[in-house]
Amino acid sequence: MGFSTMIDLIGSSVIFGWLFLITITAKQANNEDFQANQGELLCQQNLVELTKTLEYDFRKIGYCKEPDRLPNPTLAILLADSTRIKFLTDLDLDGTGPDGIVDSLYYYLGTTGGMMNNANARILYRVVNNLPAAGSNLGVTSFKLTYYDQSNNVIATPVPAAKLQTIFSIQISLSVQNVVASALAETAPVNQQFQTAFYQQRRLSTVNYLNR
Amino acid sequence: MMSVLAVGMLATVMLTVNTNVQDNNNAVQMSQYRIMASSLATSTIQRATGLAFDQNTVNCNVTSTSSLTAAGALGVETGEIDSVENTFNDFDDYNRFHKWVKGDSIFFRSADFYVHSTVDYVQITGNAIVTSASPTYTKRITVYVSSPYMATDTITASTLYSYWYFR
Repeated sequence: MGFSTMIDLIGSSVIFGWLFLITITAKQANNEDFQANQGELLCQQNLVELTKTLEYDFRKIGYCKEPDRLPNPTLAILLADSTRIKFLTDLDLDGTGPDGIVDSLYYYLGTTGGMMNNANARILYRVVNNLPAAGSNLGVTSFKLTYYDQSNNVIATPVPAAKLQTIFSIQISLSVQNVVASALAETAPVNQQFQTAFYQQRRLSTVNYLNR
Repeated sequence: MMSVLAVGMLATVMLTVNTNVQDNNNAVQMSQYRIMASSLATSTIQRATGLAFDQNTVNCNVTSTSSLTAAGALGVETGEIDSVENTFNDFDDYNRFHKWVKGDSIFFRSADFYVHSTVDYVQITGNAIVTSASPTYTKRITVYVSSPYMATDTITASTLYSYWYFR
């Protein structure tokens, strides 16, 4: 073997190693990106499911199939705070549609902790007719309600009982994160990556509020 | 020569992988912005439908369409600003409404959005809802939401709003 052949062999080995490292790094980056994208997709799907439920319920504040049982929709909101709300509505409890019996619905945000990996995630509880609380573990990190009167002024929370009738519209602000980190190094807090999705919408408190 | 070809192939593969990664990231971001844009459109529609049907029905009722605002005069009245919703008192004030919704890290954790809307009178012709040149008891608001972060996409939402009152 000549000296030049050895140089060729060494050079080839170096180049091969360099290419191999590039490939491994690219594969690792691709895997991380795939995990992040999957996390983002799950986060957005969770957000959409939550908002569908919230929009459906909030649209029916003050609604009753038998209007005589809830004659004044402005009295439908029983409790209004920045992270919780309780109101009267008519729910479809058995799949056959609203039954004309006034129901109560109570939304409130649980405390932090207890979630896998994500210490900021909480459970958003939905309580029907004072039954045991049922919540969705979808990584809610923030659930904020802002109340406005007819002049578009913000009503301070918690809203006193005497001012509940003045709530004209409600702004819902919702943040959702993954309950499981998507980064490969999940042990160190600084390396954990949680995808976040944000939603904000203002809704009328009762659709038929005003005599126009 | 073979080594050069191999490096060239690897470079091509790397570029393709990076392009796919960037496209996927872009798709994820765009879907987030679209969710927010549709929420803004719905919020605008909700605020509009909470107002009186017409300037002439704010404090009283009307008994004829001739008492409603003329089709060419739909929009803000004197003292109202077309970019400030707080000054609106009736549904058609949202005609030519426009505003920027700026994102921030605290109250609105999203991108910047531009919201504008139009309002017109509508009637049913055949099976279609068409614009009416004269006042009717039904108005239509169309809200457009766009963003520099959504490229050329514009989210459009519309709803009909009819005049009614309790006796």
